Amino acid sequence: MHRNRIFLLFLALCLLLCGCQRAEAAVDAPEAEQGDFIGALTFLGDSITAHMADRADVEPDQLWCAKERYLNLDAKITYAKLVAPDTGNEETVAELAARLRPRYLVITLGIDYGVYYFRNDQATFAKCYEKLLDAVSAASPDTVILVQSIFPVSPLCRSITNEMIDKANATLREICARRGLLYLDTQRVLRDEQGFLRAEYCSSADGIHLSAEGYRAVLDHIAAQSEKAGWRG
Amino acid sequence: MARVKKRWIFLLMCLLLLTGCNRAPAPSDEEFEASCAAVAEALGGQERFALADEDFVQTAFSPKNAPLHARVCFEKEGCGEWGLFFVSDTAEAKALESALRAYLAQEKEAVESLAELYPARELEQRLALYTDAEVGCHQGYVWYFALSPADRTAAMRALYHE
Repeated sequence: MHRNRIFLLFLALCLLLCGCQRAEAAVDAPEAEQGDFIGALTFLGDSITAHMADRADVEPDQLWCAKERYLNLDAKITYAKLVAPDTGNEETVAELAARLRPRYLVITLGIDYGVYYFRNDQATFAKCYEKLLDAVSAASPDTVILVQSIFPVSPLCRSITNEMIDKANATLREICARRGLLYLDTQRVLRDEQGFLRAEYCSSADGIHLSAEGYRAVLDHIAAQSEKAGWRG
Repeated sequence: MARVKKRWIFLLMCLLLLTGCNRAPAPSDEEFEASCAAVAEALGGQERFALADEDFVQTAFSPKNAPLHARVCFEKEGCGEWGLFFVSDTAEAKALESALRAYLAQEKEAVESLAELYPARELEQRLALYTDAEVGCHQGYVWYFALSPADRTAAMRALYHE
């Protein structure tokens, strides 16, 4: 009788502990899912994307960037060479897409060349961007492309203004609407009340590049869009 | 009366002759390809370059009328590029030459601003390509060579020899 009580007490304790662990797991699940979603993304972009290697919670093999980090959004974009994260060789975006077939590709481009030189020629800006989208789609039709807005700049930035960026982002929004692509409006979580890149998110004297905190805000925003991207885990 | 008629006919013939002088005989596809091949060979072979698509010419140079022939090549291992075109008349040749110079000036400016942010030898080399690029036109042919000095010389030699 006494042993039975001890056994029952022991069993009740075990059940209680198991219940607690399940509750903790349920609380952690959304964060784990978000982490899994971010882990499923590949990021294509210029130096702002390249700096994610040092300042963002992503793996190096998730980044498609050029060797010198800058990547112009211009008429030559589909001929630009990117460093393949697996081999270290240089390939065009179409070659990479055809070979690696990323499940999701987040594209963040425009601050290099496009925003400034096409500031009064959105038609050419759109043409160059869509040339890139066409190249990726042709090379890897199953890849889900997520077009990320160009990030705002701080008052420190001399040549590029947020008005130019707004114009370019409006063009990106229109392209996405027309092509049925998901537009990640990340720029809005990075802006302060005056529309500039928040001081705490800016890491460099040029007013363009993000801090670790800035990248956290970016990834949190992208993760929150996982449902829209059709993420099923 | 006959003299007046002759005068008008003479004037008309002069006008037609002048108009004809502004137009160079267009090369055939094969002839143009041969010119491009000669330049590419002088630069070490076509495999050294990636061929730009037709869309690039329109996007990058925005010519008023599409050239009759166009070939633009990008260096696969470096940042050099070159282009050879044929247009129908002198006025269009001059216009395309201006467009090429504007394009190179813009590329140079873009590289300069990048070099301010990311000082690097590679950018200095790119800057030199655009600063020293060779641009010209002759009898309907228009070209640009944003290449190393040795490649520029070889390309020009091949072009004129052709």
